[in-house]
Amino acid sequence: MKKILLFSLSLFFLPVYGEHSTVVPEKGQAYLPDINKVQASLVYDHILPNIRSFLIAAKDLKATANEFCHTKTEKKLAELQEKFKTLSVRWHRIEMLNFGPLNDDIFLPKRDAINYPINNTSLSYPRSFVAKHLNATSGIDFSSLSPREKGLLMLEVLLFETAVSNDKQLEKIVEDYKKNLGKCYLLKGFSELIESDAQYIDDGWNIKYRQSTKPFKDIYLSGTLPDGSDSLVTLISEIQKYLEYIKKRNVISMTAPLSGISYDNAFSVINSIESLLEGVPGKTSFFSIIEAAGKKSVVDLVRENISDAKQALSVKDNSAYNAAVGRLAANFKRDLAESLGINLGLNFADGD
Amino acid sequence: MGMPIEVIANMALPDTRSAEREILVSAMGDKKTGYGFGFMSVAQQALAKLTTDFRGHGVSQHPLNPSQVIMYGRRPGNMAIVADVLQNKIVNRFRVAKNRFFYGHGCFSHDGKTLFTTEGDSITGEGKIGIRDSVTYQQLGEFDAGGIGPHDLTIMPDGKTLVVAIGGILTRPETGRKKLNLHEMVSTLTYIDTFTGKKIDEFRVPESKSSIRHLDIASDGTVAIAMQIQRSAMTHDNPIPLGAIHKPNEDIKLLTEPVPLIRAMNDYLGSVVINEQTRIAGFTSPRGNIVGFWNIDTLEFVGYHQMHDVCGIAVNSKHHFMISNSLGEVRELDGTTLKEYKQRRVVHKHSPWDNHMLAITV
Repeated sequence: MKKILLFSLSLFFLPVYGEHSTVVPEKGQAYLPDINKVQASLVYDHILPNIRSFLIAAKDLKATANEFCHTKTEKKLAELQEKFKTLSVRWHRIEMLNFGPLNDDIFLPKRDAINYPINNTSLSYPRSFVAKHLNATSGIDFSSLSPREKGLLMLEVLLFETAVSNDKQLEKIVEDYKKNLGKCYLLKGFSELIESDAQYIDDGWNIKYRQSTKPFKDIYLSGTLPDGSDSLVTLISEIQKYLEYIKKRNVISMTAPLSGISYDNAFSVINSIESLLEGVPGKTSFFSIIEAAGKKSVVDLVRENISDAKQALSVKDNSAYNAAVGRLAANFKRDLAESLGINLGLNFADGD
Repeated sequence: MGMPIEVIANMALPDTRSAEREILVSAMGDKKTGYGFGFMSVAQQALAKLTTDFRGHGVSQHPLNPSQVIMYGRRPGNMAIVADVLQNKIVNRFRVAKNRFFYGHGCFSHDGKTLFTTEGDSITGEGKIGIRDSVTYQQLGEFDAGGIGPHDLTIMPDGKTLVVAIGGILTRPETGRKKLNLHEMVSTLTYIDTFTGKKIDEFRVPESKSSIRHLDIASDGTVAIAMQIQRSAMTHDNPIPLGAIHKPNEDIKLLTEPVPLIRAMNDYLGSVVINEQTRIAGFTSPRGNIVGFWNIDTLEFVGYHQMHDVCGIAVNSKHHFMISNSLGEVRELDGTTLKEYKQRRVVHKHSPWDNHMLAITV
């Protein structure tokens, strides 16, 4: 009896973090029923459209790759390269959403399968793989390859240079495809793989998430994710981690080494974060509820850092960009989290 | 002690008269809820918190007074408290000496008469090991830690050797937690003779930007090491092993697989514990929301558990892993299968468990 009583008492006094509808906001914190509206708008106006546009870009790339392999012309290769750039830029609008279908398998998350593996020797892996399979026409299980041998970087290696000699001219690349039958096999295989991964992400968000009977959008909007974490906490902490990641890794100088679109990719990241916070006209947004809670200074600060990041990108100033991204990461960690009344986790945010 | 001691009354106190007196202890709280020392009866699942005016970090059970637990101030701390979980109060407290600060961990000698704490010289930045009497907490002396940033430490089974995780990162009280030497940092696992204060041996891992921060030890002298990577001082994104095992008379062996899990741990381990019974070590990563488990003899990866902001980890008297997070949650995992006993999950919201947890029996 005593045991039950003690536990009941402690339950009685349990305050609430994740159950938004029961929380009264403190001064300077956003009103929580409005956060639910913001979350709904975020999902339907930002996340789902961006995931769908990435899927469309992946389908376009695959279709154009098939056409190129049929004609093998410089014009078609140039078109294919543009399709790749679109795909990459659209990927960078969703890359920071590293939860749900992007990251539901700890050993082979889709994010890693698609994303650039960033390190000094990263080009060597796809280059070696291509060189080794120049005459292959079957037998490769593309999905089982390690992340450093597939995804965006592999497609860059296939589309922007010749195998072995690494020439960058369109004419030479087309000749390379004509000479080596295996290159089209690889191009088609990796294009199909990225389309399949994009479809998985789109299906997971829209139709059915893993073993659940629900799409991830419904799970996300329920407020609690399968591991018990709060969806808003997950969103803010994942973006914060992502910003710290790109700052610490100096991503600009390490990604898109052949296509030359690292600044476009970075712009895409910043634009996506801006859009995620600003929302769409006429609807409640993160910024609008934070302003309504009397924290306009927080909104101004974040807008200023977003503007600084864009300015740095426009003049290709990597260190200024990294500094602005670092400040934005701190905004997510503290200013935005506090204004939204959420706890990112003491250990996550301030361990030792 | 002549100082206000507040027992947070919003939760039922642990029933310490019970036969099952297993208690989880940890630093607890945050800026919002206030800092303190938290302890929870495993049987009753009831929680109490003693408020403190500083944020704590590591905790040690007093070998001679098992109901007493020392909680050390977090880096750069200047205070430690002695809490008695049977009396539900703070019974003592002690400070660092002039020009010293705590790194947040300590350990007792085997006879329980001496307390060792990791400290820093606030003028020179040198690492020190503070030596105190375990009854009066008067400082008896100190010796060099053998490097900058001694963090966690424990006594070896021989009873005379300390093993110290030298993080290698210079911080100073006047600049708080700012890292001042990332490009020159040297992190080591250092063995020190407690009788002479001399360094006996030191070991490094291949990656110079790996900071050896926490450790636990098995009764045969096997040390499990948890590291944190200083990625901003590196020029690549290759995943770096975060856990390692050191056995007497051998080199440090890194836990290199599985790479995707190591990558997901996001360059950061917060705590480590060895389960003596199953020879499995658990390593928590609050930045990856994961606990990873490896066998300390075969170095094989044996499993993982996902939990938001997980950091505290201990082994209870049933040889199960107990893990905690800052959302006030405690979970119990089987020591062998690593499956969670979900019916025993406890949540005390607004009671954030801080970095380190210890299971004690009183």
